[in-house]
Amino acid sequence: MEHNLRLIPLLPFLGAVTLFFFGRAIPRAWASRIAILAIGGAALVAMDAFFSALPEAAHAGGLHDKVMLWIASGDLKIDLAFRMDQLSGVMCFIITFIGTLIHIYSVGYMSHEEDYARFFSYLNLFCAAMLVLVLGDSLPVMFVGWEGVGLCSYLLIGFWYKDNANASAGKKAFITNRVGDFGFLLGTFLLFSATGTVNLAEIVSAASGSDPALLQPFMGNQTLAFWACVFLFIGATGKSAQLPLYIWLPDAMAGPTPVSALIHAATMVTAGVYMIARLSPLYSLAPAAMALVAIVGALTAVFAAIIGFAQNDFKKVLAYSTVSQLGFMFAAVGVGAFGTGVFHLGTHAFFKAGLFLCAGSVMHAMSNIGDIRKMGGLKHHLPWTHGVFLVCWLAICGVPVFSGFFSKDAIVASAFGTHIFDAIGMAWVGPFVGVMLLVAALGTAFYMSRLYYLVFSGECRADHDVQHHIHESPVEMVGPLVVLAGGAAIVGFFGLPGALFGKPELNLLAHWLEPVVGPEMHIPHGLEIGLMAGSTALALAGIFAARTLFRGGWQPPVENFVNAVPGFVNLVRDKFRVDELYAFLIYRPVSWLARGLFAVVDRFIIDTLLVHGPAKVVDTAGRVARVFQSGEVQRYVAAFAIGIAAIVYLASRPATHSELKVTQVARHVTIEAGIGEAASAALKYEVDFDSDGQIDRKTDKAEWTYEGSGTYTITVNVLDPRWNTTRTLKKEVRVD
Amino acid sequence: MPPTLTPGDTTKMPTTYYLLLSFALFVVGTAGVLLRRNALIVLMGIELQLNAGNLAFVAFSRAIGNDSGQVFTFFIIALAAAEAAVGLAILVGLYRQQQTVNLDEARLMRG
Amino acid sequence: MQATSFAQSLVFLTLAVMTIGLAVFTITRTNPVAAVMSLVGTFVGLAGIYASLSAHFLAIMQMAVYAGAIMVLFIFVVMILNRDDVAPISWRGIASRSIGVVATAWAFAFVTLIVVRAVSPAGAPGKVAGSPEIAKLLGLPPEIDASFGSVKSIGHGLFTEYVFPFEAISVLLLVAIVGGLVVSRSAKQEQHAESVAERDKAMREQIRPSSILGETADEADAAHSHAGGHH
Repeated sequence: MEHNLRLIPLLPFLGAVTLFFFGRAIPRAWASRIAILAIGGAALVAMDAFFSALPEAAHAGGLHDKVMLWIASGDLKIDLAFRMDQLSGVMCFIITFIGTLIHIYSVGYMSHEEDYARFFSYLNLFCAAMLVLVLGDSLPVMFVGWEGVGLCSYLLIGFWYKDNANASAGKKAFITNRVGDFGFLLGTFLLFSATGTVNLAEIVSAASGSDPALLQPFMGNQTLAFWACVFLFIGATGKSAQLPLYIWLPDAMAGPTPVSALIHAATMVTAGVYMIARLSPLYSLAPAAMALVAIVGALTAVFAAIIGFAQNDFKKVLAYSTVSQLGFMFAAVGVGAFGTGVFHLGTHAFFKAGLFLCAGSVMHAMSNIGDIRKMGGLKHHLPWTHGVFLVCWLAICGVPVFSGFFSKDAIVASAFGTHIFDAIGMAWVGPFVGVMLLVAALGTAFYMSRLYYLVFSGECRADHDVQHHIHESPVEMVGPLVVLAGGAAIVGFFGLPGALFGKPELNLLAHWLEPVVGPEMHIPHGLEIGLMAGSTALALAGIFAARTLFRGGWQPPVENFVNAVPGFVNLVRDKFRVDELYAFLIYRPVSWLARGLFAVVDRFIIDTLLVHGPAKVVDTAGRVARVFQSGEVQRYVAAFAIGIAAIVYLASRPATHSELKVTQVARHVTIEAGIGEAASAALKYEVDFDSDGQIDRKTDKAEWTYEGSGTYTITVNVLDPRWNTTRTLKKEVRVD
Repeated sequence: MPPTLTPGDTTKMPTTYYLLLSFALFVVGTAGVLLRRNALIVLMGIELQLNAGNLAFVAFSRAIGNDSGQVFTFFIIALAAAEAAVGLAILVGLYRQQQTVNLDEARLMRG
Repeated sequence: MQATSFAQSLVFLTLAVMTIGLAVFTITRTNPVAAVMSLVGTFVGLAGIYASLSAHFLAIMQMAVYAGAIMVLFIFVVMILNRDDVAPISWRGIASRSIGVVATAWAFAFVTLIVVRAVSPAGAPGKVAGSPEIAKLLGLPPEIDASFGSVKSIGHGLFTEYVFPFEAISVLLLVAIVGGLVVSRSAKQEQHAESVAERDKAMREQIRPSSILGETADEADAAHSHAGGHH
């Protein structure tokens, strides 16, 4: 069904372009207004489409908008087209809604910023790119958005580019993304080669119909579908910060906090999950690939959680928390619970964005300090922020009633209850992932609570001047905070596990997404209830442990622990030195290679051979030529004379080649002189056959018969009466 | 009355000898041009060369009985005069420049 | 065909030896004045040879112009330069120069030989070889009349058949005069000439400005003649 979907990405894009070129010419207030209008407009269009148009079209493949034919090359035709179905509709809603909230927040947060318009331009551009990503009808269009958000991530992380560290963080994000994008492209190529199309709907239908082209063996005993899924997943690890390409996300905290909230919590990092959910029929064809996804997700969740234990920067803790939660999402889609993964995506968007914006609020109050060792006791100074943080904190820990509880629980239950790995003999994966996730959940509760207690409880550990300046944030910052907290609280109710009570239709989200991602996974009631209880217990245990250890500051047991195993603590604090490992494994060989190439290709081949070479050749040639330029007249005259002599000599060579042809038959000899001569009747010939000095014949053609045997020399004299010259031709003849 | 000489019929030498003399003069002139250091002598060598040519012209003119050859010689003399004048002017200029007329020291156009 | 007489051979030999001898003298003198004098002697010998070849007018011309005017010019320059007795031969690059002399000698010997062979009688005198035109070149002179080589005859040729080269030669002489004057200017004279030229140019610009978009030459002429007509 046709709909004007193009407006949704177009409005923020226009906003971005306008602000980029004219941002400095317009008053500051209008810069933010334009941006907010743009994203708000997109939100309105999205909601209109989502609520009014989409339900009707839900069974016909959703809303469709073809803008133009983009690439036409041979048989390949790619349209620039957008499609909104249930899944992308949910994503649109999240992106535009939370995007608008963050734009409003940024008005207050960036009010002291000089490059005001540029910030909003980039923010709008990011939203436009993300919308293109989720609305894209085909893999190339999605890739445009994929790259676009990568670019905007670079631009926004390195927003304060004058500080080298920020610029480097931006570069790191972009480059790591690019490494993953390579995988995305490979997956695209594989799918194209198998199905002959890059259109998402067509690929999905091919996968649903178990197209044999997809199931053909490709490499290493696995099907083509497996490899396509693996490559696409590699792209997802880059974009969504999973092992091993998560390294950019903690560094990305160098950017402004709204950026971290929007990009690195709510939207960009979820692109990988979205992609897998969109291609769920394809993934279902390759359970081994899904196992890989699930295991990587689970391991990432645990790994990041452990690192989070020892971080002292507010935003870094949240960054690792994001990585960990993303691991949860990938684990969910990995075990086949696609809808659940999207559910967690949605709840995470709200509570993580809320947490980040609280961080921004706190840092704003604390004169931009992010070190939690210098915070404490902010509960009283920042009541609103504290309230919002509390709600979001409980959500992320998985405390019942709040949204995180429902989504996280559903994931763990799906992990334990999945059967998709039975067919390939890897039934252990499910429980393994489940256990890992439980550990991660415990860890999440622990470190998030640590963060809460260290920042908000106890006495303030900051300097005096900082303490004097502590103030609650203005209303344009607090407003979105409250909305996000509200979302964190109630969004969970969209995914109620109604199946427990025999009313599966209560799970609104799963029901809504069913046409796209398939039906909700069936989990035994007992298992689910048991896990609910267990995870709640774990969450409370984590909170309680953190409360004991960190309430009011670092308590003694913590010191004892740190002193007991300093090596381990340092390792964790240093994020397991993964960056250093990469620097050693990858950066050093590459830079060594680059240096080598520079020396060889740049310096030697190009500079020395190709640039200096010809110059030196010319120089040397000139030097050689200069030898002849002595400047002395007499030498020149001498050269003259020699030249004249040469000309005289060459000009005096006979123009024709005079030949003497002798034909011998036994004793009979026939000669023909003057071959090649310009015919001249005036030439006189004198032939002496028998070497006796006597002239025997006087014609140019003559015959002779020898009597005696021996060696004779036939001599022919050619007289030119014009010039009175004689030419002698000789030939030897042997007569037996 | 003393016997009058009839102008015209004066020599019966074969032309060859005059040609050989002309050749010899030319070689002497060339040797002067190429081997001497003093520029003045070089210019005189050039004059010798021109005169060698003149001699050849006159010899042939006599040999074929047409005095156009002598007209040519006339032109060559005028030409030689002009060339000597300009050449000497240049020589004087050179002398003013470097206080010597040795040609091996006139190497300004070197390189 | 008359045979050469002893007297004629003697005259030729004397003149020839004198000419060549003095020529060799010329190029071997270290004293430039001596060299000039030797050259004058060479020219005298040559004039004698021209006379013996019935080129009377030319012989006089040779003496008057060559020995008289050109050599005087040389003497003037010798006096200006006031140098003498320098090492005659420069040894720089003597190799290439000697080779040059040898090459020249060979080339011209070659050509001369060809010509000589073409003009000598093949076999005994009296025998004709080759084309009729060449027959005329056999060392035995054709009959000539008294006006051969006279002023009248040469003048006639100069002003009828060769009038164009004649006029061209006069232009050449003019060029040579101007050239000689210019080349031998002193530095002060050069500067003076340049400033005069600039002054002239400025004056001309005033009278008739040569701007690209200005009036055409005709309009300017009309304007100025109109203005000048009231004088």
